Amino acid sequence: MSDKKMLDAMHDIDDSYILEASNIKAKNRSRPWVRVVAVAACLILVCSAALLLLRPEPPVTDNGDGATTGGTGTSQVSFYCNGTLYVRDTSKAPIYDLPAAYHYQGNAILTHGAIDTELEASEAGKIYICSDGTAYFECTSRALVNGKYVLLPCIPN
Amino acid sequence: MEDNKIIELLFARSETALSEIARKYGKLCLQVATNILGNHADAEECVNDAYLALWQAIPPQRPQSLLAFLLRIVKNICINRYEYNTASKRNSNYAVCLQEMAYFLQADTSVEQEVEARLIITYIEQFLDTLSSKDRILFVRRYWYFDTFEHLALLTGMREGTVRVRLSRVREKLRKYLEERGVKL
Repeated sequence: MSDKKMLDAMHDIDDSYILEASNIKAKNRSRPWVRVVAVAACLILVCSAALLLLRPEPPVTDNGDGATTGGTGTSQVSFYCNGTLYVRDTSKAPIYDLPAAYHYQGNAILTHGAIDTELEASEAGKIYICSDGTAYFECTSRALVNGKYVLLPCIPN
Repeated sequence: MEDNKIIELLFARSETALSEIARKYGKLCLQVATNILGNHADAEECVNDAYLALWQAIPPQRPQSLLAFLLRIVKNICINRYEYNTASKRNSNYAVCLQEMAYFLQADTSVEQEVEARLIITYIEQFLDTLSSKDRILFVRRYWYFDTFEHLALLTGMREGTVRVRLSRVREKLRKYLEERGVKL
């Protein structure tokens, strides 16, 4: 039987087969790997974000002049000075005049990744301790305001 | 509009029937015509000819399925056009004349040939019933609607290669099926 005869025979098949085949609608090809790749990409993103947030503290390094720098790895601003960690006390507003009784503790540099409204990375300054135990970071890398540097209250940690 | 209503409109000689047919089945008819002819302009012309043929056929005929009836007309017209075009491309006046006389030559078919053809159709239908729904649709879409593998892949959501392989297996099954029943291939 020739190909032509075969096609001719096909032409005369019952209407039901023709109608059955006419009802088919175009489908989107299912690509299961697309879903897998999407889920994997999301997992990688979440894991990367978690690793960034929970990464360990960078080692504290000595600057040679008694001041040490370091970062908390979080958005909390901190300073290292002579082996002590000072954390910015956000409950207190910055001041411009030191209290009467204080002593100079050492130089400190802020080296953390997080930026807040008050400070930027690598700001340099000095740490002063008052008689009541409150510490202040004098931000000497900032411009003077009315001839004075800003003093940020800190808590020795 | 339902097919029965369209047929009633055709019986009432209302031209609304044709516009309704074109709206409802025009796309599929054009697709089949394009599959056969591979030429959009020719396909459109053949589909319009098919509407005219349908208009002339109904009444008196009252088909069970309007779509199948229409598609058969489209196919017949397109195949005739295809053969005519092919003969013309061969640039042979003889081939063109032979094509023009085909109607009379076909009438010469013997009763024996007619019976054999009817038997083969029955075998094919029986074979189609043995297939899964998916394979049956693939087979009919390929060898009745003449869909491309690419289009079949789009319709079924399978890869083009998978469609080719499945159809190849179905063809092989059909060959065995017909051979077992004494049909010479």
